[in-house]
Amino acid sequence: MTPDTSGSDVETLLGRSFSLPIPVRSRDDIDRRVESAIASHTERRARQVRGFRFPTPARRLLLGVAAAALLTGTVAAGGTIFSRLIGGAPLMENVWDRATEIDQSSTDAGYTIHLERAAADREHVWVIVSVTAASGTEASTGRMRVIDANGVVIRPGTCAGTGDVFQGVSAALCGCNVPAGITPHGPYTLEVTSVTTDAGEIETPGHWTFTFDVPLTAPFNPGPASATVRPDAP
Amino acid sequence: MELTQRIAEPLALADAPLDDRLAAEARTDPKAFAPLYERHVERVYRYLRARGANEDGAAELAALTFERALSHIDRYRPGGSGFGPWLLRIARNAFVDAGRRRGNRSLDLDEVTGLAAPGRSPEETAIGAEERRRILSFVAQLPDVQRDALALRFAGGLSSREIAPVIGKSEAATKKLLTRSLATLKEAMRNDA
Repeated sequence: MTPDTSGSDVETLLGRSFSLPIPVRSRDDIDRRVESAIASHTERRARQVRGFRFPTPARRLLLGVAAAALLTGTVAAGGTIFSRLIGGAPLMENVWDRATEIDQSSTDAGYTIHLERAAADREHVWVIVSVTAASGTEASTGRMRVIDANGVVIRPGTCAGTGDVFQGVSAALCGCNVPAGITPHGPYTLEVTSVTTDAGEIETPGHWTFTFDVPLTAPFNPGPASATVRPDAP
Repeated sequence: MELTQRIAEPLALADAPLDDRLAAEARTDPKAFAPLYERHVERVYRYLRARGANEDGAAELAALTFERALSHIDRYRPGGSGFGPWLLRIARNAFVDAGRRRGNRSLDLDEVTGLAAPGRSPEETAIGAEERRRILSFVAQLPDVQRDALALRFAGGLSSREIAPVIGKSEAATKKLLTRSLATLKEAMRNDA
């Protein structure tokens, strides 16, 4: 049978041929990148609006709540970026307070990454990292992953900036999602393979590795949504 | 060749004002960018796949597109050709830049046609895959500008008026370009039958 190749049929065929769904893995990758960009811009915007410099660690960490709210995507599996962004979030101060101090540094490609603290529960491994550039440029961690003692790769969700947590250095809280059905076991290896500058537009490859061990804690509770709109909290 | 053939225009984006509102809001509150992303991510991904990017490449370039769009949201002008065309122009530039760095790729037919359409029987899927393979093989033989216009239309969902500023042509020239492309495809399909 001769196929009908009228104009409209060709158009229908083209429409069908180009209607490719986004594979789940690809969608997750894109979601993470965009969430991270939004978090970065939110933090930057908050700084511009408030012109803030946090005088005390407590204030800085509370300020971090707004940015850390973007981590909701790593807490609530599923849903759209939109729904995740407006949901609750783990409080940065809770993560900080219950995290274990690691205090390790690694330098490569002109950037020093400092692993400040880390924590783990059954769903996440949390790392708090800061980046300093030899050039003085503001930088953030780019690609990273955590590997547990059994070789399980724990990929990050969104990293959210928290203001200048440590000696004027911008730090970020990153929540890495433990695969379903897995209980993470330490010691853990944090591998960072790039840093970004210029709001994530420029990516510089490198290799920064940290080994740390932290006890498994109870899950971190999401904070109230209202916390996301309290940048002037004491 | 039926150069006067009328091409069915997709409906103009009914929600363009909403896009403009969200884009304006995103200038001061980046979180307003999230719904914009949700609304347009599929068309951007499809466009990049239609241009020949593989799954990983399309995901990478789609992410890059939205990162750039957010970074330059101040440059978006509401009331112009629309947020979708603006976004696809960024995606197009990202694809062209990537092509320059890595060498241009042709359509990955095996990947494209290997995807089963949801809700279809294996037989229907096989027939559909063969049809897709055929037409995409003809699309791959078109000049780049025609492939681009077809991708913007059928993957990006843009009208001729919206495609024109993206590819830097007038609306009339864009309509002619699309008409010619479709006529060429139709002819090729008929000869191949």
